[in-house]
Amino acid sequence: MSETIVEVKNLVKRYKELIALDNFNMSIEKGEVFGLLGPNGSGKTTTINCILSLLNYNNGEIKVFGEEMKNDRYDLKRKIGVVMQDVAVFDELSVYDNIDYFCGLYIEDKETRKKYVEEAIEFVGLEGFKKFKPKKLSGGLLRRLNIACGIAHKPELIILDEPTVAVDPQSRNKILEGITELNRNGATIIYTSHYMEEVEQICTHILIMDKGKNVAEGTSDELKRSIKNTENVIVDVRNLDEKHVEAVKKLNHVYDVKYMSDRLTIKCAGGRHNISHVIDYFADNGLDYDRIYSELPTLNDVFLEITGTSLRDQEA
Amino acid sequence: MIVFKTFFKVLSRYKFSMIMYLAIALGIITIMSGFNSSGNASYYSVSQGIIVLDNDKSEVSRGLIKYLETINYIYEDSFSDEQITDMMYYTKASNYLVIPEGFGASFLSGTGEPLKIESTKEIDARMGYTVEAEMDSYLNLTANYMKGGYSFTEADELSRESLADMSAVNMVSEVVIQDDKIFTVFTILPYALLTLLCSAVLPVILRFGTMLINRRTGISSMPSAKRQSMLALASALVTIGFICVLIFISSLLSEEMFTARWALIAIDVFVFSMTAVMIIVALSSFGIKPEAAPAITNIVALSFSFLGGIFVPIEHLGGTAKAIGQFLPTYWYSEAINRIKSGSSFEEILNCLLIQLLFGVMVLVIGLMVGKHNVKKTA
Repeated sequence: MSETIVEVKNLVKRYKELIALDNFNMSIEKGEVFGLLGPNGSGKTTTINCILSLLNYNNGEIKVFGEEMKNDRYDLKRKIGVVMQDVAVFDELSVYDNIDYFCGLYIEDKETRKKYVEEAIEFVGLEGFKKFKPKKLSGGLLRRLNIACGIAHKPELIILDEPTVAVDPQSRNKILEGITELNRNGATIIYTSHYMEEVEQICTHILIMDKGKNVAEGTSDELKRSIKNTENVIVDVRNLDEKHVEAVKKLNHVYDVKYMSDRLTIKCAGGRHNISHVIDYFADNGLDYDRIYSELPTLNDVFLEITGTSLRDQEA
Repeated sequence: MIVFKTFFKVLSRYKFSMIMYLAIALGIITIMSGFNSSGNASYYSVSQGIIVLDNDKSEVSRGLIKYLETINYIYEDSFSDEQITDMMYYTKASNYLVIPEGFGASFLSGTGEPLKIESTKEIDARMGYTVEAEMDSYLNLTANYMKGGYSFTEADELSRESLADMSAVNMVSEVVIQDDKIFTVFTILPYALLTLLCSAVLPVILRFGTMLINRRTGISSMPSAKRQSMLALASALVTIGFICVLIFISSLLSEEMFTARWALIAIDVFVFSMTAVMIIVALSSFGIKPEAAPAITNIVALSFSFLGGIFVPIEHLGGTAKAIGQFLPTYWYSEAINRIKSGSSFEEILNCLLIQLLFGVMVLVIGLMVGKHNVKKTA
């Protein structure tokens, strides 16, 4: 039987007239990599701040490890590790001393702490940079240090808030591999990101938030199955007449067609061999095209269909 | 202990600015102590040029001129009015004395109001007053001797001997002047303390209080009260260290230690330090970046020092500066020093100490309120 690590019930948070969280519900099971997805201002950070008791909320209930979370529940806080979006380290301290300090806020025993700090350094691959000051580190290495500071005390629940923003691909892969490894070692992860590919890659359960509400949740496949869109057929074609666009719309299972920048995007709902029907139409009408291919819907399609707007558009 | 240990690790990064400000402070203290250094070089008699027009030519007027000549340089009047004006303007002469005819007879008769010597002083009248004081001393002393039954010749001789002895007494008073060194040296300490605290302790507290670090530590399993108390303890230790070093060096320079007034001054320094720490803690609540610490050091230390009578004595401050200064703890620190110097009662000194503390508490309360507001805003 699975164990619920975080349970949020009917959470309401108001900032004067603005409702940041509107009867928000969320449940995270032990061992999950839980992806929290949503545009800026959707309430992701507010939710995390409420879980961590950094913010008071107006109504609702938050339980962590089965117990009510309050600001003075240091026993619960001991089991939580947080890696924030912004790098929060001391510029004056070395890599080792930074990790040692943040680990020391949880672990008092010197020997245990020393062991944990060494393990955290090894985990994020900063062995060669122990004595470096943060200003001497590249953006990717700094992110790794940020992660090490948040996980060194071996927490059972790790909250990662956009940990890969402005990180080079090599460091990003290292971070994602690390998160998966932490999860394999038994940690439950809450992961917020704007990068849907990352969420799809590592999250076992995804929750989509919008305007302070839980609008959809499930595994990546479940979410994709829950929407009307089942397949996107894309045709790179130049100077296509409007009459052809309208004709494609009338093909079987097609429910939406967009033609922009010499690219025809055909959204299909159910059905089989949709791409064959499109190829046949182009052949029958003597239309040339550069490329034609089929894609399964992405999380962005899920988000677009549920909220009526693209996640990436909102970020911009 | 981790917060305590980390405080000193972060502090060690500011050692260069700490050493720099300590060197500046010690330099100023040393220079200030030099202003009151003992030795004959700092204490010498000054000869004034005096133009004398003797219309009396009596025994008394000659005796007076002869006495003045032992200290000053006498120009017998053979100058035009224009020349006299020029000599006074260019301070070749500090006084122009006109002894009226009949002055001697009037003085010797000892009855009624004696005839006055007309004295015109130069622009900077300070020296002119000195000559008038010398003249009065001679005439009063001579008159007193004559009242005691001496003839004018005897009285003239005795007066000159007595006045020569007085010079010796003045030389002995060097000791008193040397004693004042302690006040001069200790007056500068608030500047030294403020610069050291602002350049060393403030950036460290600011670093611990930056929004991101604060947020990260705020979600840790270490209670906030424990973290804050460790920070306060570390700050207090550093401050006590600064106080000890500064008091020790100042005591060495002023050549005075463990006297009653030294103890009172030390209490004043201690109270000011407490106030300074409260100011530092309050400043850290305003969300200032640690990188701004050098600018704050200069703004706070210099403004508090100039307006609080540290660099310029309170009595020399202008009306507005003095009015503003009264709202600063440095002013009351200096005032306490002045009261200790003038031998005021302990209650009067205590008032100054309490006002300093009151200022600190008020600033601290404002700082904590602002800090609380900022935390709410950033959460």
